[in-house]
Amino acid sequence: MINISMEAYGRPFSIKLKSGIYVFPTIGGTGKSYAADLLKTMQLENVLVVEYSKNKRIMENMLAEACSGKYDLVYMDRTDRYMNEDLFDDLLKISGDTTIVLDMKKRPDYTYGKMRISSIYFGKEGVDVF
Amino acid sequence: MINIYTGLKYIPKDKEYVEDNESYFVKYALKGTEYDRKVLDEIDRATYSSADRFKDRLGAEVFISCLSMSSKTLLNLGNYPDIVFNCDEMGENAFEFALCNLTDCNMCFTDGVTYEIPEYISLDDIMFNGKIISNIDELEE
Repeated sequence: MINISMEAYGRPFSIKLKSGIYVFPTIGGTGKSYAADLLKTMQLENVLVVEYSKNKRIMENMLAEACSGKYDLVYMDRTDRYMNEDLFDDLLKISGDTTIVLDMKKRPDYTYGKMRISSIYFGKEGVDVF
Repeated sequence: MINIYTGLKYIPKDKEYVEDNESYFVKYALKGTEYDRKVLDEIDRATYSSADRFKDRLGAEVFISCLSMSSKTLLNLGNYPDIVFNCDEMGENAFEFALCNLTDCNMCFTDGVTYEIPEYISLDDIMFNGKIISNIDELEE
């Protein structure tokens, strides 16, 4: 379970989700990457934000960290660039204790029935992931 | 003509293909055209400020790298109609926006098109893997 409620750039930011793997609806421009930026800015010890990097070594290290089980929340941006079945299986293994949020437009067969849908609100009142 | 490729193997050899919309977009920036402004407004609820900045929905002026991947892909598609762009990171709303607002563009979905084509869009205006089709089921044959 992750329950964060803080101020970011003077506006409320909250994320409240049980453990498991979550995916956003396949709509563009909803603020998914913006939420990733805010979370990264907060530098919380129990939260890891995974961003896409063209550098293979940086990406591998980041993904190993994501699957380590050390974090309460793993927020993964732009996963269409790097998601594969092995990585998804590794995330599934830690999803009993970890909240994993994926920005994923493609829905490969290996993900069917294993993800819940999360929502994001991004407006003048702040950012809310639920 | 809108060209949709449902795999890399279908892209003609003489066409340039861009895999990473992010770096291509940031390199060439916003043009400030009516099309650019419409993408910003309808997808990101943002407004154009300059070639490298825009105002987000909260009124903050930010660098163009902060735009959504959907907007970046749409802007690439609209501004460079001869180039094939990877569209795997484009949202459903952006796909529909492209079909409604563009007449010439090249999209590639590396594992096939995940989104449905709205009924009001004529298939006569779209080429799939270099062919005009009358029914979307023909793609699976």
